[in-house]
Amino acid sequence: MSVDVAGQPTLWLARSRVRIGALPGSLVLGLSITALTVAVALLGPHLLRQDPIEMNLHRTLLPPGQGHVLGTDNFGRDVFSRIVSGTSIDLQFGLFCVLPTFVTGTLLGAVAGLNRWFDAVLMRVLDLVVAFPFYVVIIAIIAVLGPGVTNMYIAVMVWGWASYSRVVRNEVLVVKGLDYISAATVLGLPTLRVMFKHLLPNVIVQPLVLATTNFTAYVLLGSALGFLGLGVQPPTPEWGVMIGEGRDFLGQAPWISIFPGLAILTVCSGWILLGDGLSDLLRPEISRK
Amino acid sequence: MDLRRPGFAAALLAAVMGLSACAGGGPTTTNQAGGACPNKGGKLTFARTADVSNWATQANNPTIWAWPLVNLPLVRNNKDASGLDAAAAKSWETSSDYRTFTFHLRDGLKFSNGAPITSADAVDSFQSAMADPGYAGNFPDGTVFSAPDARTFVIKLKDPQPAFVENLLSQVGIYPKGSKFADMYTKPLSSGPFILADWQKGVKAVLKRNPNYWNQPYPCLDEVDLVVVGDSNTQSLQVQAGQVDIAEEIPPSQIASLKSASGVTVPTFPTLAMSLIRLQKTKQPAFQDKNVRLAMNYAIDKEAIIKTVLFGVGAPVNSVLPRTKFWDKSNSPYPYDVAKAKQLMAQSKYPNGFKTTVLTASGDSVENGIATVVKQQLAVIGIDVTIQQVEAGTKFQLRNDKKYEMFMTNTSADQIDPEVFFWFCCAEGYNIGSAWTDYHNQQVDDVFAQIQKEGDPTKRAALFKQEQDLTWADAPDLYINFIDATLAIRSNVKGFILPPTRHHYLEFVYKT
Amino acid sequence: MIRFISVRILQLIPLGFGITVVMFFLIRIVPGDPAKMALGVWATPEKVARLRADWGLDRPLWDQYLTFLNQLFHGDLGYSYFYRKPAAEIVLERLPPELFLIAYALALTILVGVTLGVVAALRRERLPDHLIRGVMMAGLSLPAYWMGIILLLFFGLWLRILPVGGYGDSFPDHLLSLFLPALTIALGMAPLVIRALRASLIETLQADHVDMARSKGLPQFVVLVRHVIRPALIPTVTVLGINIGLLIGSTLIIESVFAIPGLGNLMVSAVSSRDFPVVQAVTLNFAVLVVAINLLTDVVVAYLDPRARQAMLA
Repeated sequence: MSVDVAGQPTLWLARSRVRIGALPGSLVLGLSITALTVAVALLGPHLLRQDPIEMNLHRTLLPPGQGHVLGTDNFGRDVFSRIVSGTSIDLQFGLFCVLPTFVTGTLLGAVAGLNRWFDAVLMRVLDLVVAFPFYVVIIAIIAVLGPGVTNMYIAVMVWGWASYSRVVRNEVLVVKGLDYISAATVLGLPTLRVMFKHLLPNVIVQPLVLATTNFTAYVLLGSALGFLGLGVQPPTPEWGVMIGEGRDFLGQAPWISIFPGLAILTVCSGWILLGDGLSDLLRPEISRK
Repeated sequence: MDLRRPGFAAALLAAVMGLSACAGGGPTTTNQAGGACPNKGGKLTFARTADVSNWATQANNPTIWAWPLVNLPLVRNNKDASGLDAAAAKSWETSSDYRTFTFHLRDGLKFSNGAPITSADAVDSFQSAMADPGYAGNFPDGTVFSAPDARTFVIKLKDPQPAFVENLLSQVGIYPKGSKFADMYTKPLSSGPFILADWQKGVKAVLKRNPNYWNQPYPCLDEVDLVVVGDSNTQSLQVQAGQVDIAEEIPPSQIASLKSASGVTVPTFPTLAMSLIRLQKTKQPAFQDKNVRLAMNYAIDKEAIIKTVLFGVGAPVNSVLPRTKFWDKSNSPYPYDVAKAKQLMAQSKYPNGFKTTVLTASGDSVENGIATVVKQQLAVIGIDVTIQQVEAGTKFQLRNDKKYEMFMTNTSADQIDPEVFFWFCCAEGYNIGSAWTDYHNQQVDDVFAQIQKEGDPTKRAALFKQEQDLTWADAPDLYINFIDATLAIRSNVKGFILPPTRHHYLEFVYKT
Repeated sequence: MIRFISVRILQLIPLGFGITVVMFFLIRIVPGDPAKMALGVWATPEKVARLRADWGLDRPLWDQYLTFLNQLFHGDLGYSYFYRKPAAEIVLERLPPELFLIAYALALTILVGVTLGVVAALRRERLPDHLIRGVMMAGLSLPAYWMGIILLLFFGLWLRILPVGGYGDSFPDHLLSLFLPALTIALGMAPLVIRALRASLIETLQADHVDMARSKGLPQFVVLVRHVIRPALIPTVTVLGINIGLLIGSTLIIESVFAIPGLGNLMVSAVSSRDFPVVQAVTLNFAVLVVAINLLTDVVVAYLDPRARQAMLA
């Protein structure tokens, strides 16, 4: 352990080797929930006994019980089946939105932290991107390209990388002033190597945490777009759209909105726990609590 | 109509006298409720989902419905939309060649600022309206306005138009001579029941009683606040909490819980609107086949839609016309008959079905609800429909460009006489191809040409019946339900009427 | 520092320029003719053409853009098609409720976020921490519009202690009417603050210099504030800054649900009616707001963290 000149803590640069002791509890819990979710997404639809899209206009708004574990919605569709089928859709939203934006944003931010010229450009572009009301960008893109999920991914890509870049860039700025990075540069190590081996592992924590939060945010974005009618098209069972549809029936049939909400809660909690666990894991050795 | 009201006999007499004027025209039944305000004073808060775009011209529904509150037309639709009532004009005559219309203004008419209204003001107002670029009225070219004396106003058309008065005159307001029409958009100076005292666009309009209104003792209220609350769920909550007195648009799903809430009534009113799905016959050639169109109409269970999506509010459509004058009440809707639908498909050029798409407005739960059921039911006869929600403005544009196959929408008539509506929907009016569907039926067009010249009400009725029979056998589009408007009103608000044209006639409303 | 701020403010100019360019063309790419929409269904082609000419929509795009720029340099944001008055006037009318809502939401976010974040870090891995993290997941996982309706139902209808939407006419009315919408936004944003603060606080709490301070005998509270919270605020403020765009964006849906006459609501209706001048004016406003708040957070971070300050000013 060491204290640098300013009396501020050094980060865990020298300790890049992680001691595999007991894994953090949150990591285990997060992994379990996520694994369960993936399992439901892959296997669930094949095990269902009722069709998630089939309407039965004589059995609408039934409360849980009577052959429908979680009740039926205003078209008589089985809520449980819809939730199970919707699992893969929402997982896809999260993944296909988070992965590209995370990778792009992190790389761009890291480069910006290291290269002053690129930083100046990127920051201005960032300001521009972030200043746009997302709603208008989405409308414009979807109005031109047409509604649907693919176009939602495009719109997200245009906008979503920004938050990672800024976080990474700030962290890199803080870290790069530190002794051993300068030492590495003085020693003539190529920038890329410095970046990947020494820098990124140390600045990756915040963006990772952000990524897991954003996973949730993108699932909710899909739902908001569904609310606006610009995302998944009916009668596809997406959780957010189900919550929106159930909004009209909060008084008489709250189960239509509550259960998809619980589903989102569970899945997103899994990812957030995963993120927390990873961040606990990648943090420095703490010899005492 | 209450026979015990004192004004009734006089009104009836006036109506009979009006009917005997030359070649028809003149007041029919009245909507003056009889001349007394059980309770005078008070303020009404009215929540609407959208604001007016301006106070002079009638470009969209929220504007149309609120227009009569501050503007004074010559005549207005009565409360059943079965005929016209007198407004600024106490009586009028139509010439036997249907080209000259003479209006007699009431005595003692005053603008809301006290200045007297004369026919010169009427001439000026109509001329300005015709010339204003923002006013998309139906004045034909060559129309001449004149004022032979201070209380008489005459309109002369170049070509005969029997339904001219009913089609147009309730939409033009009278403003002082010399005022700029564009000013009337934001500061209208007319003589409706209320005066526009303050207007925060998109938020709230404050209307105060007009002391110079002709229909004394109305209005009963001192003030009406029109507030814009875009979310209908929020409107519903506000009515229940007593924060607003009337909520204009209640989602059908809320009706049950609102009915059980204390202090709230949930009346429904028939309107001149209907829900339907337009079929673009050029973009999707399958829709040119009459058997396909009929099959689709037979394959839809309208009662189930009304029950599930609309919670029982509404009735199946039985005509291309909404419930206006000359609507054929006796005609039957297409029954729900899947076997017959399949048979018709088998006889068509597309026995194996086809794929198509339907456009709906994003976020509109009723439109999407109907589309969802329609999708399922058309799948049974082999038609694979994909639902595409688009943002409202984009949807509008796609329709105008005819870039759609099926188009979920509702349509309404703003006039009592269905001539303009029919021209628009089915006789290729305005050169847009029958409401952008490219429906063309020469027989229908020929009969319509006769309607345009026919002034005798009995003959008009017969011609419209013929048109409805012709089009119903042809099924130009996919018809769903007639729309009934559902509002939520606090129980202490009385006297509220909503005519089928949905104009807000709030002058009779009072609070207990 | 002053120079740093003024440089950033000057940089707003090219940024504003960039935004107006993009917005100008973006809104015109979207299908939908404002003249046809203003005139309604019964519009004849002649009337439409005349209105378009009046509004300058029939000229080539680059010509329209140059006119727009010219007007902009003279401080003129254009004339609203829908409201028929200057766009700048309409935006100014809607600005107070918007700013009120944003400030209120930020205040509640910071209040809730910092409190819960500190508690969670101090009681790490114990019951309060787990509870707070549970609440946090709930806040992150529930859609704002749904939450809004629930809160309205509960406080507005069942308990009748708060108004159901709207803005109110006096300052106390504003405070009451905007509480639920601001709370709804804060419930969504506070979890971000809690996470960042908690993670960074835990790191800092275990750092050596803190032990050193403790071993020097400084009271717990002083240790907390001077050595722990101050550095831990950096990622918090950064997180808020990053997500300010999200906060402002969320006002669009919140204002719709709660019927608040702010910029968000205005944007939604202006886009629907293709009221180009108003869309452009509101976008410019949003951009200025976002940049201003970003600048504020950068200044705060620079104040809190000498290293970042050095790096930024370098």
